[in-house]
Amino acid sequence: MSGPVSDTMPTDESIVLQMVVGLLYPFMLLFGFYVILNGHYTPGGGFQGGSVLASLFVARYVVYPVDDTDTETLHSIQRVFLALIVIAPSAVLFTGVIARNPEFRSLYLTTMDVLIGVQVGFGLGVAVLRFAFFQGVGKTWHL
Amino acid sequence: MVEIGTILMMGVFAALAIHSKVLRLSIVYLAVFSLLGAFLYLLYAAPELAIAEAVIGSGLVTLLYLAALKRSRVYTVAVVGTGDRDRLADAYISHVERAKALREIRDFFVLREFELQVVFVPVSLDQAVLDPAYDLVVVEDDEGFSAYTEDESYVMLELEMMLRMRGEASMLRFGRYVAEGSE
Amino acid sequence: MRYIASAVFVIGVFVIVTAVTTQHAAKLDPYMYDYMIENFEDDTHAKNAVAAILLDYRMYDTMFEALILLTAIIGMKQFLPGAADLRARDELESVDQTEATGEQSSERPSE
Repeated sequence: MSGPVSDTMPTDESIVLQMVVGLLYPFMLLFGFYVILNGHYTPGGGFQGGSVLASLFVARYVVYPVDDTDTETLHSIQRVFLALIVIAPSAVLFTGVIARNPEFRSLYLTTMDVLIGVQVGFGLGVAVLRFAFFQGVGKTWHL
Repeated sequence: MVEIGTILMMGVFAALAIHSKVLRLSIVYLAVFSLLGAFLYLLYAAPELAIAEAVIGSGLVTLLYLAALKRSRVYTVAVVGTGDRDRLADAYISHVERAKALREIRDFFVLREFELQVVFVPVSLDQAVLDPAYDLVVVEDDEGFSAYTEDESYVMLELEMMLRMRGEASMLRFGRYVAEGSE
Repeated sequence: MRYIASAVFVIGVFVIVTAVTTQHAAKLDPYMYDYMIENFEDDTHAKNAVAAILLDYRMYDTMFEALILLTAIIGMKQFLPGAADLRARDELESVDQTEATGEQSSERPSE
């Protein structure tokens, strides 16, 4: 067995990588939520913040390449959020509720940003993980 | 001025990514290309696209390429030393990297579009050949370089045939390792 | 030679496309984007014009963009083998190997 498959434990990863990713992880999370929640006020928004959240999955995969993420659940959550993305504007924007109550506009924008952010983040995360663990179940895949 | 510099750098990295013989380096060049693209978006006052390009272009896509490259076969050449020289010193590594024998092996694998990595290991020849992590073991002794393998795949047979046909010109002798006790 | 030919081809396409698009550039009606840039703050209470356009003026775009992402991932999950399939295959292979190496089948629990 001399192929790419290696049976070493995840703890054999480079200690530098582990420390750097461990240090950066909370800041990446914070930056993702900052970009999502301030989408209507500063540059950014649902898609950009969602991509930053998806890069959290990538960072975890780099230091701990074990396929134990439940992608089915993430995919189901993504479907639910797509339904919400369709329902929220249909119920609020297209019916004219927002036009009659302009004080809810900021709330509506923030809600939409959060919905799109979660949808994109889980979607890209599932995509990357499924490609990364393609045919590698039960084994450890180092980069 | 900064714009033109960035665009020229992007061109340079794109050309490097295409012309690099080592696929892993191509991926790194593509990541740098994406990062410069993100900087260019920032210069053109599109910070939203810059965030998306930086995260997706140099984060997610780079990881996907690396994971895909991992699926292709990577051949590992182990260089083990005999004698009393310090076999892991920088001077010795650069000496071996510049040797004609190793360049021959590298060209052979580049021509067939296989990924090749060369590692320097502080173990004996027997241990290295029997270790399944190494496909080819290269040893330097007084007479030059010799290559040993236990692998019987067609790639190694082809390499052996090429080296035997080149003979002395290849500066590399090829030996098939026979494990003790199998005779 | 191949490099030169492809370089000439690419440069030719670039020149033709640039010439055509600059000659026949459609004059867009500036009414829409002038209106958006002037009024987005009053209309949507967003401080960021891009967010205003994405989440209010052009909401259908955003909705179907999210749908595209979901569709892509559904297709990916359809055509890539899933984790459950691969685990089942691994178990099948290990069972095959134990049979091939001559394990007594009576030792295995009956299904």
